[in-house]
Amino acid sequence: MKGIILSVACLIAFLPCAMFASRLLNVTRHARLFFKLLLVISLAYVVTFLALPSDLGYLPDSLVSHYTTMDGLLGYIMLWLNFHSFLTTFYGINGGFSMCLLYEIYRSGPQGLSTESLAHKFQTADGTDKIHAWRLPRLIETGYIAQDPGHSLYTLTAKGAWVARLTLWLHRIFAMRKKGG
Amino acid sequence: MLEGLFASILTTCIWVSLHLLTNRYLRTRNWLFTSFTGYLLSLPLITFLARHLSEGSACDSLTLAFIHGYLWHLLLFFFYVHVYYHVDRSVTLNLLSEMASRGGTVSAATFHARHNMQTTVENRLKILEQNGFIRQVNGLWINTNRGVFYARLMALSVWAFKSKTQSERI
Repeated sequence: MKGIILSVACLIAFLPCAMFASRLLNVTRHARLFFKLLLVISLAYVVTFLALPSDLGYLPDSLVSHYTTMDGLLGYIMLWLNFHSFLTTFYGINGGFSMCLLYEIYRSGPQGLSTESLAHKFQTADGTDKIHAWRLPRLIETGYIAQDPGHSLYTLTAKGAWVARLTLWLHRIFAMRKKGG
Repeated sequence: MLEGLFASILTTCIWVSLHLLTNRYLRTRNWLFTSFTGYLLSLPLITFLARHLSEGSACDSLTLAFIHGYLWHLLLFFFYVHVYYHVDRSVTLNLLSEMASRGGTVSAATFHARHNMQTTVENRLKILEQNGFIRQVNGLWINTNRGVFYARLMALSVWAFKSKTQSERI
């Protein structure tokens, strides 16, 4: 039980730290900051787990595990699972296209927005779409796709092909229907 | 503790397998609803398996097995749902998989022609309307109460983490 309690405590500590660090450091790549913070929190988890007694000074015997190492390991895996949930929720809310559409409609006030106005909000003055215009250079930078020198072809790299194959496999497993967008 | 962990893994494997089969053959429309139903219906199995696996084990208490069982079952449910949504909705993943299904190479012209902003927005608005987040009044889109809730949640999160929305990134 010590593992669970410390894991939850670490997650609770992580959330305000992530928020304050994001606000203070003006980051553009939040995931990098969150991973660095998670490493610090992981260290704190290990130190406190080793330093504190199995019963944390107040747990009854029925809640103390006899598998100390396993308790610590499971607590740590739990921390990563919670971090994964946090990360996907963060990107789902802050970076999600659907959320962004809802947000733009909300910001427009009670009169609402037309499809054309919404599409216009995702385009730059020269007509470039904002969904792919930043994503493609980011995918090139992180090595998922490559662009030929003439800029006329985009090619999947080995890393990108691996992720694509995994995604297609998951599409089949989940029996997803293509919806577009 | 370990009994609870095994019980949660076994239960998750069972309900997820059944859920995937249901999704494949019955073509359920609301994926989240059916996965949540599957999660709830599988809860008693945790009790049964944790109790059964704890029989004859003299190490950790049954209470600890239950706590671990239910907690891990919940965490695995979150993991499953998050992976599904990410794979289903991620523009990046869909972009990569689309490139792979076209042989791994796409010309810039084809790419930009296929990813027309107007069509992308129209498709996503249709999904949002189907799921009750928005509705159309006199040709204009407005949020339903559910949509307003999520828009406010995004406003709060954007402020809290000082992040940029997709429409503000360039």
